[in-house]
Amino acid sequence: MDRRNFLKSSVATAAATAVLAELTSTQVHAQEAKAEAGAGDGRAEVVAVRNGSAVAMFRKGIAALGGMTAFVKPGQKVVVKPNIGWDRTPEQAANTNPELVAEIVRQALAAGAAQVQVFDHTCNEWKSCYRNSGIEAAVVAAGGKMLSAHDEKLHYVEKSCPQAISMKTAKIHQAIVDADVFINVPVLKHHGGAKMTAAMKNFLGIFWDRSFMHKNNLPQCIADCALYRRPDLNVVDAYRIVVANGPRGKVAEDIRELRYQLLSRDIVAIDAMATKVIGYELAQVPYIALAANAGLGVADFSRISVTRLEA
Amino acid sequence: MATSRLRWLRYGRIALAALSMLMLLAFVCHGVAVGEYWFNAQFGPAAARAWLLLSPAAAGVVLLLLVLTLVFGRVYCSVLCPLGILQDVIGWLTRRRCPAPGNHPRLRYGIAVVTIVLALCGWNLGLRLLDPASRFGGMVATLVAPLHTAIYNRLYPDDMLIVRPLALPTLFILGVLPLLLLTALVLWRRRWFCTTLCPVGTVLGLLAKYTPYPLQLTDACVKCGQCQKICPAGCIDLAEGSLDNERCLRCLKCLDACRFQAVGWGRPAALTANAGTATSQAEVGAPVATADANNVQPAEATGAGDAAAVDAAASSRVDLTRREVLVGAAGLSAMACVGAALLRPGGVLRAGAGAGAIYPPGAGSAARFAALCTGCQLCVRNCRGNVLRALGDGRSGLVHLVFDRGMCEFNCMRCSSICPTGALRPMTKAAKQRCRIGMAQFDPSLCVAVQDGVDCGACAEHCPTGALQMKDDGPGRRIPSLNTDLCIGCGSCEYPCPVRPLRAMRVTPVAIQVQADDPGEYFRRRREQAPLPKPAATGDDGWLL
Repeated sequence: MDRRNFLKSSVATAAATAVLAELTSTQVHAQEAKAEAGAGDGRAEVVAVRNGSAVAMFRKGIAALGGMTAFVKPGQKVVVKPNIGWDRTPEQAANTNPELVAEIVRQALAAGAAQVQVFDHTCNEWKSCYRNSGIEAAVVAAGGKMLSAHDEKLHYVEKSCPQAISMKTAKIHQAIVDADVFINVPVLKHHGGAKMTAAMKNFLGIFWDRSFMHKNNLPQCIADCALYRRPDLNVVDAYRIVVANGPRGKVAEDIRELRYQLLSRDIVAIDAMATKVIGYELAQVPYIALAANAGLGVADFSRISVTRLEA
Repeated sequence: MATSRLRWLRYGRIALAALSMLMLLAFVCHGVAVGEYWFNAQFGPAAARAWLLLSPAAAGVVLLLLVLTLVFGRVYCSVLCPLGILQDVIGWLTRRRCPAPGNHPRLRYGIAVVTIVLALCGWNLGLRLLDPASRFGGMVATLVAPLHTAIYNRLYPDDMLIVRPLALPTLFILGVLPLLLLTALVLWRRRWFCTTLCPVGTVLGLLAKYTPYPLQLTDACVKCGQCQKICPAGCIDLAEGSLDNERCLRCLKCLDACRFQAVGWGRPAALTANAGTATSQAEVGAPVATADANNVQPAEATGAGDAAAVDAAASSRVDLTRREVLVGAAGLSAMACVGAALLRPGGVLRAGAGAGAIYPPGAGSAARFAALCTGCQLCVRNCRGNVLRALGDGRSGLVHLVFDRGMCEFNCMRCSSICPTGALRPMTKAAKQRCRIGMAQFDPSLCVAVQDGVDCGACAEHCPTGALQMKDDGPGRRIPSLNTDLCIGCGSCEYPCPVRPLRAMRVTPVAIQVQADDPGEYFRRRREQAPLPKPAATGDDGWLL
């Protein structure tokens, strides 16, 4: 290699590196800007609905937020992420209510979504979970598409997030990366490890490596999760909730029928409100404060306005 | 006229065989439900199941197959048995001209007797080594199914089949080696396996010998030798003009090959009548139409009938030469040595037991399971948790559980319901969900929750019975606590435990599978003592928030 070639190639390499670095940083800046916009004036709005079927409560709640058309524009790709973690029936309340998921799929399609995809990286064997939760049948009947999330190479892409504290890089489901609209539909439950599972904890099912999160400070990782992709809408299903032996529930006595539902754009505010629904102190669920500190949303009850509706 | 009709008979046989093969492949590779009927119709496993579980359904299958064989001969071997069909395919693909198998009645009966006696005593060694359905299952599970899974998953990434690990010893012992041996046998002596080694074939042959509708050479035979040349079972003796229905596999190639339509299938009397003039070729006894004690063949069936009777008598009469005694003794001692080697502690059959592995629910105990499993791989192929392994991991020999890719799914009872031999006892769901196949062991020195004080809880989260709970251990610390009474050893704690290389939660084998305590009862009792707190309604109108 002569001097000229050497210089040429080094310049080219340097330029490429600079361009790449610039690209990544703009991406992150865009995310930060979005995060700030989301936090907005430091206030958050949560809609709480009660005493109806899951579908009726959702209809009431989404209307209060401006209807599905406020979230889904015609031609957009929508991903709905329920909790389908367990091979349990709808009555056992370990997974999101299938009718609620189906109603969201229907409304998204009615709002003009090009496609609505539904998936979860399950804990039990995924086909059993999809089938026995009732979600697969309900979603397919509503016109949505169930995606597999069980192959590291086929379904996940590696992303990095410098703002994250514990989980700096993670493999995230391709569908979430490609989606225009991300609707997060967890079920509210007691959780043996994280104390409570609702909107933020539901994010574990869009990533590949659960065991990394369990090993490296689970609450911090849960708070980091939402940095990778902010949901456009959160719906917390609290029609039936597991109040003990969560997140799976072992016996019928672990389940309480509350008939509540929460809706919000703010993932932190909705989890903060969910602690009240299940009956925990905010401090018992450490990841909520961690996420609020990261600027993901509002955890201060005095700054959350709650609209209470009867379905 | 006749030629084309007979040809279609053979084509029909091939079509049925192809259907069976397709169904069995679809069942083993893809879990296609209809295929299960074909596997349940396999004689070896059904007989084992009928004896082990006194199962009326399995006994019905056995009886049905016996009646089928009595009426049609060993059609089982040509249209139902996957290994027989496979040998036909190998023979057709290679088209090698090789001698037909000889008649080895003593070897044949010896193997069958040893197999049956051992099975009656509760040791399915003969079936484990020679049952055609089980060996076929092993070959398909190791050689075909992985390819099918890879291709299918590439084509349909949204409906993925479970990718199962395949250890090299498994691939070799269950797949490559049996296939090579079988191919070698086919190239050496066509379907020698079916007429000599296969215990199922021998049992069926004993019935086929007495079929009232035998396949036989009629008087139209000109001894051109076409049928003998083509017969894969070597059951045609031209010199005697006989066709041994005990060994005839009903491939129907001879029907197709004979230009003189001299191979007949039906009642002997009708056949000879059709054939017209009887050209007797041997010294024939008085043509009296009475049935022989052993052989339901009228003596009118001159050459063929008589020769068959003579042949049958020869094969069932024991007049041993010195050479046969020596060979027999050597064979039996060789078998005894092999058996002892396989069964000795640490041997192939007992290795799993010796190393202390975890066996599928319904196995009972290591010793029981080792004696009864025929290694058909159906449980392994159907395991939804992807935890069943055939061999390997240093625990060769027996199907056992490894929790590196999943857990024994709480709601799944596929292995015990699908096991065709009854080596895994079928159970109710409630019994399966309390069946203790192992026992979790907690090593606090490895646990991240104990050592680093981080919130993990993966084990308690996954535990289906509530045996594992996160207990408060000082401010902000929750560590796992194991209630061994409820533990069923399903691996739901070991699999998600994030600690590597050695996990903090490990399931250890148990000697005998027993029922663990009922979680429902346990938690109800606990709730009576300490009821769960109700969330307080703080807001207006009883709102919780």
